[in-house]
Amino acid sequence: MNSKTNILNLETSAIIEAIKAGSEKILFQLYEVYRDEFVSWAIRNHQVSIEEAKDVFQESIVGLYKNVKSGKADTLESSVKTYLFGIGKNIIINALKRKGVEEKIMQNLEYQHDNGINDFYNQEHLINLVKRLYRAMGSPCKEILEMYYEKGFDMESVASNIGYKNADVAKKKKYECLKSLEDRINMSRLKDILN
Amino acid sequence: MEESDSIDMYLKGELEPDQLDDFQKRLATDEQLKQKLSIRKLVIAGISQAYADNLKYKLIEFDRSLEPKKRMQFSWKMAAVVTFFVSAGAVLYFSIQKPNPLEFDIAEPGLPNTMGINSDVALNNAMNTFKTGDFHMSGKQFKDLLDSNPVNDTLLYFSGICDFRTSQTESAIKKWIYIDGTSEFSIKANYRLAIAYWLNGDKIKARELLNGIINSNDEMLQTESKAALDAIK
Repeated sequence: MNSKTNILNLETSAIIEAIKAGSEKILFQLYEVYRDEFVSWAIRNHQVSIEEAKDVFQESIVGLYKNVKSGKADTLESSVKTYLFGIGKNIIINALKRKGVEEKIMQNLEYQHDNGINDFYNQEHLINLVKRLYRAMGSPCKEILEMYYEKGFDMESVASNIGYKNADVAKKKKYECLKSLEDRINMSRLKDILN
Repeated sequence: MEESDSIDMYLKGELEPDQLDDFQKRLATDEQLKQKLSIRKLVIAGISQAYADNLKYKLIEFDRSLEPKKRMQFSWKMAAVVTFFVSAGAVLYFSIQKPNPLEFDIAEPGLPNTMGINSDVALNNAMNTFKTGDFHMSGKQFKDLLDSNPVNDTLLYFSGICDFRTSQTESAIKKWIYIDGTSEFSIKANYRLAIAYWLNGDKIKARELLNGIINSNDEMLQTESKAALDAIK
């Protein structure tokens, strides 16, 4: 059975549940089944290039994943395809708006003194900092933290996936990894302030 | 219960009503706890963002893997004939040719564009040009960025690839050797460095680096390194 048959046979709620349970495979199937249709639609309606349209559709899949994880897609009544295309449309429209905002910022630098934008900038900067420090961590810390915080595994599942004897061992290791990451964040933030 | 666990349970909504009450009371007065909570939120957001970036990266790779699949949707008879001649040609070719280091250059899909309001337009442009395969132009764009940020590991890595793919091997080596061991590009840069040294005839340095990668935790590069080591012999 190919990807298209698989996906088309699934109810929206089953797709959402599979994503929630951490299935990446279903995200790739959605990408394969709907990519060409989205690309044609985006080129026809928004005059973007093929590469830009693909990039937007990849972002749409990531957006779908994020919305499912945060519970925003729990009450989804439309089909996943309609939802995905909707996310893609929003990304294109926002990108066009942002292009306008960036041009305004370049024209009027006072805009940058807006506290809202500064807060947003600082928050993004901090998240990027954490992301860098997290990526630099070795195995199994990265895997443990990802399973617990991103995939929502309990400590028993983390232990069995990593190959630990029991949940207590996994919990102890998770604590050590987290402490090491948080210490590094504190050090880096201190460096930032000193600089 | 450890304070660290309480923070996690609070954020996951798993505290019992009395525990939640206690936690919220402490939060109202305890500045340290407030600080720890905000750091934990950052950790979770950072991990989530890293996962999303990784997913985007995998989708780019997946997208590339779809193209050959689509091209394969033609006559199987024709495919069989082509395969026969290609295989026969390959056997003949490899029996008379020495391995070429350039064949060990691994694919690099580039980084996804940042979508935030503070996204770096020049970097996004360079990355987009890189993705089109125009390494002369993207090399120039990365180099312009490097001039104002000479130790940035992302720029060093991608600028090095552009140099390597436009036959400026020495220049690529000079960039990749500056990538710090803590960088996310470190292992990939070491692999590329090994191939560049091999291309320049320095098989000792190439072997040393490839052996180092075999001991790393990157399975894909371990396989590539083993293949390259076999070919260097």
